Amino acid sequence: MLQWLSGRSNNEQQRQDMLRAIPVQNPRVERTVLADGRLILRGQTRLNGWQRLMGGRSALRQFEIDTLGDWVWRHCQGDLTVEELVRGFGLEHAVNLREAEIAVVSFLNMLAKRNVVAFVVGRRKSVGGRRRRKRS
Amino acid sequence: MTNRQVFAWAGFSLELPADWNLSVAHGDTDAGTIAFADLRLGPLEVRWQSGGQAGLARRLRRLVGKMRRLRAKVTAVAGRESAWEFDHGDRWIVLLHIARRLYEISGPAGGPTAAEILASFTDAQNAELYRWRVYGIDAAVPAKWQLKKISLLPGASRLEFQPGWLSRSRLQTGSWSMADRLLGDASLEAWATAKLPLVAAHPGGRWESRGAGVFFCVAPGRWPGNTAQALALWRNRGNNCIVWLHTNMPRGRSVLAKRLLGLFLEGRVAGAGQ
Repeated sequence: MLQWLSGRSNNEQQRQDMLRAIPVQNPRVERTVLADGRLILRGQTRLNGWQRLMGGRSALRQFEIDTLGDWVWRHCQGDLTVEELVRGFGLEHAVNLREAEIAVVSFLNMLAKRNVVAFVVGRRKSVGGRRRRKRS
Repeated sequence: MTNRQVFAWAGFSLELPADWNLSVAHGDTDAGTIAFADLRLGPLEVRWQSGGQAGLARRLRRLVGKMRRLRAKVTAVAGRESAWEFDHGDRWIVLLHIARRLYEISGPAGGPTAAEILASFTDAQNAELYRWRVYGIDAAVPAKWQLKKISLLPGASRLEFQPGWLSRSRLQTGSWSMADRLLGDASLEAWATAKLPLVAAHPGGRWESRGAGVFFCVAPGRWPGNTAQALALWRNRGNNCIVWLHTNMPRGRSVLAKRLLGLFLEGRVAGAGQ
């Protein structure tokens, strides 16, 4: 009891930093809907350490996502923080915020590992993020 | 959707804003911790410890003395006996001694206040049945049964209870999220028949509609000691989840199993546990 007196780890701070980050799509990755309705993300992504040692620079990769993943991907336009994505996901799919947080954050981490999204940390939200994409 | 929700766990319950969810749970009915969090604020924790009344009273005095030595602002909680509130900078802490339990409730400044939590905090440690209410689950379980497993995965929550280590009786309750996606246009009965191994493995089982849900029962086999299994399912539309209760008990406990399943399906758990 009274363990609060002995101090806490900085896990909570890391969580808050993560929730404030803004996920942005890699512009080289495109979303494709196949004839059978499956959703594919496809693009040039960075190689891992071994592949770079072998002389490669980038590779065309693709992977399938479901409709829930597609919702998250479509909203990574640089205008929403992870927290806003989590709240939106919770409302859209009628799940509680903890479930939405775990689902969205783990999916974004998976996308980040594959260099499909990047996180912008410590700056204000981009007002023109969506507009820039429309022009291109 | 209301903006408040009731959590009930191991003989106590409290009310929190709808944004706050259970994030950590461990321990059993004798001692344990549960923590709630929303997206912005740090955890709101409830710790409890059971023991003799005199021993817990001594412990409470020692903890209050410790806080006074740390020059924290210590105040007795109005309207409650043996309850002390501490202001510890960015957190508040309440120590509460009720009968054979000592509770420590702590929360972040800026979240629900100590007064709000205490106004809704109820203790039912002497009840015959404990109410367990979390993530759409709302089940009554005999107070003496032990919580054996907790699984709070996104999309699937499960609590498992057993009367004792050697007992063959089991009670499990849980919920599956996104009921609209899981069920599609199918009925609960059709979905369970297609997806749940328990139902698929017992084609001779009997289905009944009861209250707001459905009930599946497998009679015990011919061998002495075989257990009867029953599964109750209902769709919680407010939380968009499928809630279930599974009992696996020998013949001697069939009355208890029927009572627990009946309370679960008829939504009368609140009256039983509190």
